[in-house]
Amino acid sequence: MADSSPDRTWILRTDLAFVEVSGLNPAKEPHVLVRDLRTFQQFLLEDEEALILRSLQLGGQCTADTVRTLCARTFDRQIDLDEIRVVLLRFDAFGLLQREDPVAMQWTERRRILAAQQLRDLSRTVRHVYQNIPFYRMRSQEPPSLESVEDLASLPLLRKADVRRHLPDLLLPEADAYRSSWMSTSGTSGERLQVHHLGQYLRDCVEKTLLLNPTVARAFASGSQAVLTTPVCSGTECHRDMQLSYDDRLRWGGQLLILNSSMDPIHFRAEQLEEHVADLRRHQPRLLTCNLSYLLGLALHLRKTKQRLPRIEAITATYELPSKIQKRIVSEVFECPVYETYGGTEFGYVAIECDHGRMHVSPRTHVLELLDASGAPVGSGEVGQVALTALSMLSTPLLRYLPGDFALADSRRCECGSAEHTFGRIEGKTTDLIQRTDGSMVTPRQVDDVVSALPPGITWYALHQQGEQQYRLRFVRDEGFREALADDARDALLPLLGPGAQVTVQETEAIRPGSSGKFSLCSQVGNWPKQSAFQSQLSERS
Amino acid sequence: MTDFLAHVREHFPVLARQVVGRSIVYFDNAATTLKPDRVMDTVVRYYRDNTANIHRGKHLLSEEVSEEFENVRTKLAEFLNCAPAEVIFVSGATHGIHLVANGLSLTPGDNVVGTVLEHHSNILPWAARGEFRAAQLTEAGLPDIEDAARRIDERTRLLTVTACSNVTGIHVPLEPWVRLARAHDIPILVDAAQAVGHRRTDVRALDCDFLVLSSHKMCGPTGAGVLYGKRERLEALSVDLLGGGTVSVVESDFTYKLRELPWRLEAGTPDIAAVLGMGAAVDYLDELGFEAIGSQLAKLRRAMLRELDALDGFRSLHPSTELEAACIFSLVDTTGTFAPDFVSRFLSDTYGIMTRGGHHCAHPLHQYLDANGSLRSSLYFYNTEEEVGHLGRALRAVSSMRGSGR
Repeated sequence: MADSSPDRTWILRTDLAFVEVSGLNPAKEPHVLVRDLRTFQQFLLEDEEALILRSLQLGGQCTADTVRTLCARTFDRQIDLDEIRVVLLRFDAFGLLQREDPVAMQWTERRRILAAQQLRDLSRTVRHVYQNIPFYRMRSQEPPSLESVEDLASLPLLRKADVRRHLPDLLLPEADAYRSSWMSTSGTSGERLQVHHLGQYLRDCVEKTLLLNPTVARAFASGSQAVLTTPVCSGTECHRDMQLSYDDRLRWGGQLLILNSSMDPIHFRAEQLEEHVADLRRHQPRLLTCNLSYLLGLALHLRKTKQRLPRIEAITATYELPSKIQKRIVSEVFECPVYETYGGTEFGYVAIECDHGRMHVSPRTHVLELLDASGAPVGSGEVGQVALTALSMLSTPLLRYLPGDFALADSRRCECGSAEHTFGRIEGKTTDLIQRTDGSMVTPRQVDDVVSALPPGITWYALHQQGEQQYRLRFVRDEGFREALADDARDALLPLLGPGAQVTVQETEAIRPGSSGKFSLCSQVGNWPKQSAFQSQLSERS
Repeated sequence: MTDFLAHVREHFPVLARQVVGRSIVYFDNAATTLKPDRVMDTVVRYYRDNTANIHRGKHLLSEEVSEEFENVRTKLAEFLNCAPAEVIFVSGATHGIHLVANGLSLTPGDNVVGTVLEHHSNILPWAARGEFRAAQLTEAGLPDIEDAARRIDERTRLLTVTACSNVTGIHVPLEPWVRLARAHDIPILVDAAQAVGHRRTDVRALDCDFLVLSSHKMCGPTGAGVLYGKRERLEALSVDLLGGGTVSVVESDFTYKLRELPWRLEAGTPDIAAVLGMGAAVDYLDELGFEAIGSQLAKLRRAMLRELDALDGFRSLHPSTELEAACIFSLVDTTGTFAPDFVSRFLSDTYGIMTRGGHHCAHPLHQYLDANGSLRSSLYFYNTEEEVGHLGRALRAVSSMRGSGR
């Protein structure tokens, strides 16, 4: 156990970087972003944590009592001594304080502390849900006791259909007493939802998740951001499907700019693309968040017109499963890294990719399970269906919620050094899975592994399964396209799809996004007997 | 459930569809009504057994379908009480209004006087060609005919009025509007899209010059409708949509001679299956009888008004019971908590009730009524009082989600 005696003195490490981010969220001041220059870990401290950190900065060598006095005198805030000790221990656990042992806390210890913290948050959430939410209160008078995060498996799974059908009973009674908002999903999975969020829930998830990636955190903390997404998504989240003026597209006190969008990024008009260029030159975002299939249109335009934009530090690809082809082109054109994030309108941001290609789950916002068809956890290296538990979504709680996504489990320690729970990558949506000729499942990501390994010459593409053994790859050509690419693509896909597969490859100018405006790398089309055994088994268990 | 309902509900297979474990409640009839089996069968039969173009061949199939097509014209003429040549098949009411707007050859400075109740389809064709002047509403919610009279001047080319508002549901007494048109010697066009499926329409008795309707709002297929016009009014329209079927001859110098009514106004191959389906819909409504339909709708209106009376936090745009109205009820959330789209999705996905949220192609009316959109429930004769009760419970759940009732 770490020493928490009253006389212990606490000193901040000298090799930490501090970024004031209080302006980002005026409603929740103060905020301080701390960056550990040794491990490149980022910590966003809020409210009392931030005050305690500032007191330590002021006081230098402090006891907990000194910190309490400084908080009262300098910031006019009375903070309980025990609470200060807990926060200081947390700082210590995260390696922010000088210690006798100058080596930063070991990965396993940080992992242990994160797990303990997450269990505390999870227990609080489950207690709240079973005490206050009618849907759960009717099931059990007593909240289930959780000894570990894994005990979450004793709770029922929650399907989208359950949320739709029981929405009134899934709401926190009198939730309107708080600042709140209703969110509607775009229905990409074919199952739309409406949920209720308290305060700035989505914003909090974005902050806590983006800060797990140092490059993105730095860009995010700079405060200047732009978003390019589908007009449908914009309709439910950000702005309506209409061409708005620059000023009307600014959000968050002018820090976030939404770029005008339309439904067909393959055929964005030159004037529209030049408007994007002008917007980005004017706003100069450090972080660009996008549907990569939409940003690709702009990237190709920039490449063709040989234009360079002011430096963007990082791009986050979200809202849809991006292709590695698009990731590569966009990264080359914008000269910055592209990181994938995972999230959804109904539950917020969950995870972000690190420099080593692994997805890190935000430990303060979500617990992510990966389940097999029987509902049991899959092993590392296996693909499972995502079940999410939101830790701070209190007004429409989502416990073990099935968003309809698949991901690759990977519990190995990540080379980036971060201690959060990780998974390998998102594999795709239930509705986007296709089958091999033997009936087994192929994920969009597995298809992308094959297509993206082909020589350059493809931009957008989609693989449609038209029958048990019939597949059609449609693609939009890029510079460097060679006629042999079609044969190469067919030859490369055959081993993935299995014996007897018939693959046709067709160049096209029209790949149609779904009704939400998002692109799918794969889909089953046509009227033939399709199987979705995985989905049905898991649904029956919920 | 009454015998009448037990009888008619069986004709609409979509009513058996289950959403969230319940049979759906279809309350979006002002957008489009459901289609009975016989209408769908008629459409399918045309494609399956009798595919041919009309009026263009002498082979058996073409002869058969041409005759059936023209029989529908006669049927519609009987339905509206006019001559077959006065029935122009169009794609819907919007198309019909455009035929008149084009045919009147409006020039800048001309105006058309209408009402603020109108659907965009009865505003934009006029506003795009001249000036559209909208009479305001009386306190009761009827269009103010005196205001309309004040707006008529020497450049007024047409008076137009909806027979039934697609937002408030009010039935507009049309006779005074026809008299106003006669007094100023201008033609009058009635937009009857919402009205014809709800009550008997007699264009001779009404003495209007033009009237438009859409098949899909009266149990028929989409893609068909009627422009009715008095023969002399139709003949006076300029024809700028020309093509196969509209002319009797094209000379070597490309001059041409227009055919007689109605064909001169029906360019190109029509949606034959939809027209045949519209005929089946008219047969169906005639068999049910407008008296029985009206009686059922009156019952539903009373039930709906009882539910709305018991509802907190919503303002109804429906007129008072002293006025005649269709079963169209638009609600505005007075607390500003929920957008109409949100409530519509909630009713659909949680209660299986299909309603509509938005402005219902009536932005000017919503602005006039100080409403940023509304939630519209529109009922038809196959709906039931039980379904109205289900909607009432669902709307009370919405109220409770504001936190007021839990």
